[in-house]
Amino acid sequence: MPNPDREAAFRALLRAHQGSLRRLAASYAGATSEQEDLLQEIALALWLALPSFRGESSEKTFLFRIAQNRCISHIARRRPVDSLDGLELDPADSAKGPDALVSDAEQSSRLLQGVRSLPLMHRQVIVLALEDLDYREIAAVLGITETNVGVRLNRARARLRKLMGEPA
Amino acid sequence: MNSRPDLGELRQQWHRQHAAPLDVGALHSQVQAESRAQSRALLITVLLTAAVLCVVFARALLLRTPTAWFGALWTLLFAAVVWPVSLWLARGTRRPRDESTTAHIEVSIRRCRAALIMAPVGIVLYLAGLTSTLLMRQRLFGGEWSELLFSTPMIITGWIGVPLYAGGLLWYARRQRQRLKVLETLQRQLGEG
Repeated sequence: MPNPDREAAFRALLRAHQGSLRRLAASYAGATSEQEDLLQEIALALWLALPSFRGESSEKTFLFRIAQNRCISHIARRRPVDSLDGLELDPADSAKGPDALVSDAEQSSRLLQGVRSLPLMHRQVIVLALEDLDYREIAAVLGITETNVGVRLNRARARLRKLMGEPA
Repeated sequence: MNSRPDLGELRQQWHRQHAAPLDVGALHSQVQAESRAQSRALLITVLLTAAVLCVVFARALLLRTPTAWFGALWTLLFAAVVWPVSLWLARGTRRPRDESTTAHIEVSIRRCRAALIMAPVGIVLYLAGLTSTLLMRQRLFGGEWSELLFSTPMIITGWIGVPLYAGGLLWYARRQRQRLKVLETLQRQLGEG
């Protein structure tokens, strides 16, 4: 039987965090089709988990927790595929000149590739930090302490900069 | 403690990635279809078991022959063994202890291990059921072995069913082993802090 409240909450959640979900999917899946599959898996997990959401944590924490866990299940199941298909520039950047666009695209590609190359513990923490979650929120999503978030994030940042060929 | 990690330039680059808008309506339809399919899959398994039992018992009631009754009781016994064994192996795999990544990986590992045990158990149970049915039928009602071995039910459940079932389970076990390996690596990575 359709539940209008659940459907409305589900749609609102997806609309509010669609950018984050797309970027999260891109951090764990290479090809566009694989990212779409992963997004569908995340959406299904959110739909199933919504009735248990009682507001003990923030909506953002709830969403990222479900999405991160789905990404892990996806890693465990997938065959190795890696490409940067589907990575495009934000249309808002179209006012920039072609050189700047190429440079931005390259930087974003390098960043995404670097994030994908990180081990899980670092990838999780850096993706959440890049998505503007604070230490408390990251700790709540991952079930670790804030101190641990700090340690992991420092290591992740240094490793990422190295992977991107920048000084740490 | 810094509450907002300073990632400056990296964060800007990250948000520069184009995130095409999600087709929320389509996603919602897909999710509902999949959710219904999952519920249906469980229902179908239960209904299939019930249907098989109904058919064999209806056949026994209609034919009223010892072999038909034997077949019906044997099927019931088989179902009575397979269901509890499956449920016992699935214990502790339903949900993680909390919503953390560590708990999620733990429960995924338990599911893989249960599936890896279930695969050989499934083959053994199937073969045991088939062999014991043949032996009991031959012992109780006599008959030529060649006739029994090449009867239509035996051709379907044995000569065709065994390789198909075993092949399917081996493929499934291989997938689960690969998955387990990845999950154990991820668990190790998380443990390293």
